Amino acid sequence: MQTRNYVSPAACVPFLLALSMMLRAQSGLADKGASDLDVSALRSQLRWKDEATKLNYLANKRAVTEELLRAIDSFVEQTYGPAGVTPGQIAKGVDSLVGRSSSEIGSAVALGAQLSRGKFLVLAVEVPRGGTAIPEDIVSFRAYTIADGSASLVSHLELEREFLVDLHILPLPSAFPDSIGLIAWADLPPLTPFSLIVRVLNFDGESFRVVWEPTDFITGNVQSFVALTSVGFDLNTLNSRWTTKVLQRYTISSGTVEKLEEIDLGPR
Amino acid sequence: MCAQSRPTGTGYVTAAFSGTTLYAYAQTQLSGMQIPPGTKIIHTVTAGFSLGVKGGSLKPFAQSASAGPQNSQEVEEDGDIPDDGDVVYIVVAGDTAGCNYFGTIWSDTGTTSYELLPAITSLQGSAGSAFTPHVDTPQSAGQTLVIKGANLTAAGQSNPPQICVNGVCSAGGAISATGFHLGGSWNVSDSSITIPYWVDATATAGNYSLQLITAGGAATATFSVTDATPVITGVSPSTLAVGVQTTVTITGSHFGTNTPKVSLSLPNNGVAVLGGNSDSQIQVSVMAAAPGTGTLSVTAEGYGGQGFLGSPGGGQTASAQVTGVGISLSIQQGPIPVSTGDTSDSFGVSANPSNITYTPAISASLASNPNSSCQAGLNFPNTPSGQGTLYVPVTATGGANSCSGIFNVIAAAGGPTASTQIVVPPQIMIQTEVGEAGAQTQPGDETMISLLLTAKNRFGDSTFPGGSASTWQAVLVPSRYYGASNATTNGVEPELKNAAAVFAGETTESILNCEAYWSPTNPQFATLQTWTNKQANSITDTSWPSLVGGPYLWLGTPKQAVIKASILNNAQAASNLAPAIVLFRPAPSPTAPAVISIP
Repeated sequence: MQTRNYVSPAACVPFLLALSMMLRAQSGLADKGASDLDVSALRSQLRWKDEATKLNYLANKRAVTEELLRAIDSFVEQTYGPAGVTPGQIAKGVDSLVGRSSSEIGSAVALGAQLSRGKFLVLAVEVPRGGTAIPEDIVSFRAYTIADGSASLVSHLELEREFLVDLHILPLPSAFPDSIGLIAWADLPPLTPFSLIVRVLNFDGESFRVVWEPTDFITGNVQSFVALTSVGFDLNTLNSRWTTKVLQRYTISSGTVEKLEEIDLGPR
Repeated sequence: MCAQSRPTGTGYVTAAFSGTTLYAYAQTQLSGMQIPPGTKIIHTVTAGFSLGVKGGSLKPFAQSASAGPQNSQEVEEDGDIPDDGDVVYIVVAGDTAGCNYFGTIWSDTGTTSYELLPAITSLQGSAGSAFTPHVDTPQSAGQTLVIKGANLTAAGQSNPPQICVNGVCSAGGAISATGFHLGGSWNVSDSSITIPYWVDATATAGNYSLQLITAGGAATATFSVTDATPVITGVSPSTLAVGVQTTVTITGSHFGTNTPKVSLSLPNNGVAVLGGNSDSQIQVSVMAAAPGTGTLSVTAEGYGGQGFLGSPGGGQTASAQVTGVGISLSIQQGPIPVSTGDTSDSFGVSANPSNITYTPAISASLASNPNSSCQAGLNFPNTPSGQGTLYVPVTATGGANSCSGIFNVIAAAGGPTASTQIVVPPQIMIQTEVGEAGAQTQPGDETMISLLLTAKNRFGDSTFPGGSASTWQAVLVPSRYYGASNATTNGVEPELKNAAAVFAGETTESILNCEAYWSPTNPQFATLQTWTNKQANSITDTSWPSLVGGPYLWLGTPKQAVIKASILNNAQAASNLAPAIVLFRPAPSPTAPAVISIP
């Protein structure tokens, strides 16, 4: 199994510009004359600011989201493969496509992996959506197979709630043999302390599978909510009254997540 | 009185046998003897004797003791009476030929005695009062009958004499005659007999005969059992509120078992005698129509079918004074908060003067139900009755759907009315307060109010879920307010008061136009305070949640934290140096301060 660790979206502006030019020159989007303009229009349709635009949004958000995700696929398929393009650069390019700068919350994450079934790229992208107040983002996990110097979509899995924002991903390098394991979490705004949706999933070279689908957690800090351990991961949660820190420890064994213990860490 | 010795004297007597005894009654004063006319002279026969005719020849009379008297019998006079050989005059019934028969007890074969006739001179009550027994005189009243007279006892028989009431007789024992009772404890002398008596409530009123019987004869008297004059000992209430239907309890005695007539001299709407009245208590319902002083009169109708039988000098009616007064009404000032889950809420209604009894009539109507999707019902399960300040229970329905309403409530007592307002906030407001800020109960802490105002500020803002619906039920949902998942079903305080104030728009608190908030920890608040001099556009979207704990809202827009002084510090120990909540909104301008403070 070959995986990469969590990729921090470091700045790479010159390469994004090159990617953009590549899109214009090579992608189907460019061929259709859409390119940035069309993607921008799609992004625009996924945002609403009043009742009228909200109604239009609600009527079209699924189709538009899918179209935007297909644009992302096109970008990845036409971009990933050439020598020198890294998953991190792909992630930055995807963020640019969906209209997010890499410094913003919920940046895309791309992981490359060599599995027995071949070489793959797994992308987790958070598509900004919703009104001006509460984000209604959708997270899509997309896996591409890399062969003959080009990428093609193999599988995808979406994570969607009424409100969602700030996707975080950590790979679980040893938990799932010959597959890519991930723990992903995102905030469910506007609640504070933060309410989080958490999923453990893996990609085995053919499809995504949700391994663990717990009920939502409450935490005081989204970024540091998950800490990887030698046997699995820890979750830094709060009790239901938000008064006490509770460390929840989990192990992953044979592809199954099991709770080891809860440790009361005292007042928040 | 008796005399066992043989008296001497002459006079006229009448005589007759009864069994073996010859009873001769003196008709005139027997000469030489202190035996008054009417005295019974008794000669008990132990053997045969003869009677002869005065002045005639001796005619032995072999009268057997059992043969009884004979007409026109003659006896010989020997000049002495009433011993053997003495002359007694005998008037024999049916003899029309001569009246001055006399006879001689010819043979002294028995004993002769005489008894004086009993005479009843008067019947008296206790302590010399008149004997006026009336119906419903309980035994416990200790009343006594005193029979005054002469010769009330007799020789040869055990005291006391036999007394009969309406033919029911006893010598010293209890007597019961149609509800009139003489007790078994007699105090007897020749001139006076004292006997306890009582009269049932069901006794027959009317004339009764009393007969006293001794060996000397019988004496009779009559008396009447009458219905007692009713007596009122209490009227409650004695002050009647004009225009208020009032239940008045009249206590006393001798009201009878038939429904009495009750009247009020003040103008009124009619006096209705309520059911369940008794000989000592009556309840009536009456409404005085004008102020003033008047009388409440009870006219007894007696006991059972006989109606009322008054005693001489007695009466049938009793009266008591009552006063009709005009009243003024006041009611607890609103808004009075009520939760749909409360079972013991009430509000006060007061009447002046405070000594009148009234029953306020309560009515309610919906005044408004702002920003709510469900209207609550208002009930007044029990209307109290009494004096002074009364507390009217009130309940509200519709808790399951968080129903609500602002109701105008009117209390009326006759003419006067008073009104107030009852506010039933949506239960979801209370639940959200309990769930999010249940520990912020310090006086002056506006945390709960501010929390609810953030939701109110979302009304009309379509960018927040429920904002377009503009209802508390649509905005306060668990996915936006943790506290909305709280299951509190009643009106805990101060949450109820706060919810009612916000729901009714009574609060004057300002949170600017903030639609969001969060509860920073002590370190987060310390960081936030360092942003006071920073511009809103210098704080990134990421910094709000990651550095100070703010919510993910208005991404891409400069934001501003609002610290409200009247939101006291968090009751949680780990956040006790920070306000319970910090308000949050889009900054008025990108260059506006990232943090501001308001009162």
